[in-house]
Amino acid sequence: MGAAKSVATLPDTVNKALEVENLTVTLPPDAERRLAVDDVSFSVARNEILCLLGESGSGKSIIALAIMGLLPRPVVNVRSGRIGLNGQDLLALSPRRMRQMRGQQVSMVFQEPMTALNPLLPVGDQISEVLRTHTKLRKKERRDRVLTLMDDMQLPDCERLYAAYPHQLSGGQQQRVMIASALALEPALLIADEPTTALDVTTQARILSLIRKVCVDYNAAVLLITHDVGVAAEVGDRVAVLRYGRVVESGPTRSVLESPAQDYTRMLMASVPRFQPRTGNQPHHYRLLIEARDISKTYVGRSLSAKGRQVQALRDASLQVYEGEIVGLVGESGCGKSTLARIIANLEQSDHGEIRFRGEETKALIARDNRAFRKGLQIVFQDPYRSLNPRRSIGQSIVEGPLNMGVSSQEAWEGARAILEDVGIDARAVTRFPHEFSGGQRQRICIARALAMQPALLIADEIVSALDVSVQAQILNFLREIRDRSDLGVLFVTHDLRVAAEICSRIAVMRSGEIVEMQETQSLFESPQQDYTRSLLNAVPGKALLEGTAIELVDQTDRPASCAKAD
Amino acid sequence: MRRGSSRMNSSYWMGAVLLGAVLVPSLLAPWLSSADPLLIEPFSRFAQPGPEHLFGADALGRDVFSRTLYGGQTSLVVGAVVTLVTVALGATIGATSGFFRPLDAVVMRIMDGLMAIPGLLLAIALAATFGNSLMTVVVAIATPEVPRVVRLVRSLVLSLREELYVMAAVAVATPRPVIIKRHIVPNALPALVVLATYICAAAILTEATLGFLGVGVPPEYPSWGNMIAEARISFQVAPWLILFPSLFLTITVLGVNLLGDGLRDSLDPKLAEKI
Repeated sequence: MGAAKSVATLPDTVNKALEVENLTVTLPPDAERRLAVDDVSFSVARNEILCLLGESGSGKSIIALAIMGLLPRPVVNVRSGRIGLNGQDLLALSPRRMRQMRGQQVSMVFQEPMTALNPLLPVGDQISEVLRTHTKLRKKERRDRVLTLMDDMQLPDCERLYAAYPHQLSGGQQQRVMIASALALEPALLIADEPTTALDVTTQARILSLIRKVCVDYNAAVLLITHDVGVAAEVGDRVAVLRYGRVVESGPTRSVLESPAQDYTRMLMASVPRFQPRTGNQPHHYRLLIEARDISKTYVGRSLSAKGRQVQALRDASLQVYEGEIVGLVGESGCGKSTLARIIANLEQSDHGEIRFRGEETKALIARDNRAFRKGLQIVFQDPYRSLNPRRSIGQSIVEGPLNMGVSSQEAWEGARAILEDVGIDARAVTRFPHEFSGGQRQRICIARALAMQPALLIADEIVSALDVSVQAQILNFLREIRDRSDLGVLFVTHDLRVAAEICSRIAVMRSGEIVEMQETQSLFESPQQDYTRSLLNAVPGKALLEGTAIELVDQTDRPASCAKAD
Repeated sequence: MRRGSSRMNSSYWMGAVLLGAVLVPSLLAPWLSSADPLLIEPFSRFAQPGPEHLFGADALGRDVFSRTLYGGQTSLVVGAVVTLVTVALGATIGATSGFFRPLDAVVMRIMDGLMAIPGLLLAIALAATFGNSLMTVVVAIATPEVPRVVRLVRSLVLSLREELYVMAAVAVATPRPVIIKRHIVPNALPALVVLATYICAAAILTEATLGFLGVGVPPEYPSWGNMIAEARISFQVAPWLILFPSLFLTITVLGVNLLGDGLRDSLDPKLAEKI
């Protein structure tokens, strides 16, 4: 890859495919800010990948839609600027002409391939559709062209896949089909909006290298939109960092990410989990908190046919968490990690296996004293939007547990205020409702609710996956702090090895319901015992860049302030 | 958000005003109208609307203004009673079915059976067996409506108990009855209230249909349905007779439906967020 990259980064200034000049896009008057995109300029040459890197709300997707001519007008409008594609100003084109340009000259790949594909049509026909609309090729020729395209996308067994329906393909294959249909007419510009965000890390790595490859093979300019610094580092020839609709900094990927000139970029880079186990994560106590032994679980699907489909979610999974340590449970989607977390929290039942909490079998403990078990073990879920009852104030949600434990009302509310301050939310907000908070704030409220119980063990089920990287860094810092000042044990469920490396002392790697490997973080990274672990480690995007550099941390004290705004 | 709430308010208030325009005069009928709705005055047959008879008089010389107002009482009573009975029964059965899974299959098959009964035929059968009464009307209208409520409440319970905030409540040891009261009912209520308004509107319409077919409330009591049926015969002589009860019926049903839409928009936070 290194070689391919150095060839592709040759500046092809003569042949700028896309030139965006002083683009300004307005938002409706009641929006948070006036301009979605504020005086943004950049260009992409053929054979080049430009990454638009930004957190949520930075305006990166609006730019993509503006180029495609798909802005939700009249709510969002281009006020001024120029979007040149091969010298033609896209903003000056008639809607009809723009329709022809889409597909022929510009095409787009979206985040969720499943929702972008028509579930009722074979995927081959969907790619063929583009050719039928825009070319005069005959049926046979179209089919041959589609098969070539699918082959170029490294799809296996193209003849068979041609007739397959979207649901029969894996997420990665679906995204390959999307890219195939986007490239069918060999457009000058391919826009990829978070093309790998919904995919597993190993699939992501393969799709990114495919995008790299087709960029050269099809002589296309690629505009790749991402929130993930790792992805930008992996495929971007150049990168433009966006914030509040402005380009903060742009330039060759390496120089921008390795030696950022702007504070925001530095903050962003400092927030990115290093792909290196951190020191200081070793547990300082050695009392066993929870022990799960040989947990198995099979789901039996109910269907119209007599025999239901069986899915074995967990196979003899075992793990332990000690006081004062954070244990990572890492695996790709559908591997059973959340099921295991919920079974440990007794929110789901296992088929067999045993769980002991502080040495006592949990079933027996619950039968004897449910409240003692619940007080000792708390869980926080991935989706902060669904974790809080929309009809109850956040204070009511936080005091619910302590009140159940028999704490007096006054004490519980005082505790709620204190814990809110602890997680960085103004205590006066206790009477406010969940919809008044951002996703990151809600997640902190959920953590506050769990911590208000003063648990011994916290199960964190993908708690930072839905959050921007700067918010993610705050929450990880906070967890680390709590662990250090109490004996809290944490079971940290995540799909992201980078995040796990940041805070976990030990990591359990899970695949298809089995824990394939469990090691101290340091030794897992240095000498993974399983091929699967190795492939996970290798797939982490931007690994080379993130490993190779130690970015100077900005002064820690000014971080929360600057992050709070981005939140 | 602001735009959304004002739109919600307009439909909500419009509905409330229309419904109030019918509800208040109907309730105040004894004071608003001096005429006895049952009094037959042969000399006033087909009297035109005027100071004597505000809406005119029908084929038997009965005062149409008074009959329309009293007819409104019948409609509104039927609407209210049917709604209360249906929602109370349906919510109980639906919640039971959602919470106690073993019962679910049996209960839902019974509901499927109930849904297959045509309301009109049931009303005719009941009227034939027990004679016309308010009771037969309510039973006939409520029976096929109950399963609709059951289905809604059951599906609400099934989805709400999987909500993460319900799981979070389980995880802080909140007892089950409290979870139902605190987390499930308040989040299920909006949808139920909205369905209730639609059932109310449907019940008022069905009551009128039954009255029109002669299997509604006893024929001597005024109801918009039987008034329309009687007026149909003399339509060519006195077209205004059919106008007033129809107009009131339309306004009532429109009002209830608008109120339902307004409530839906204001009570459903997800919808409100989207607008």
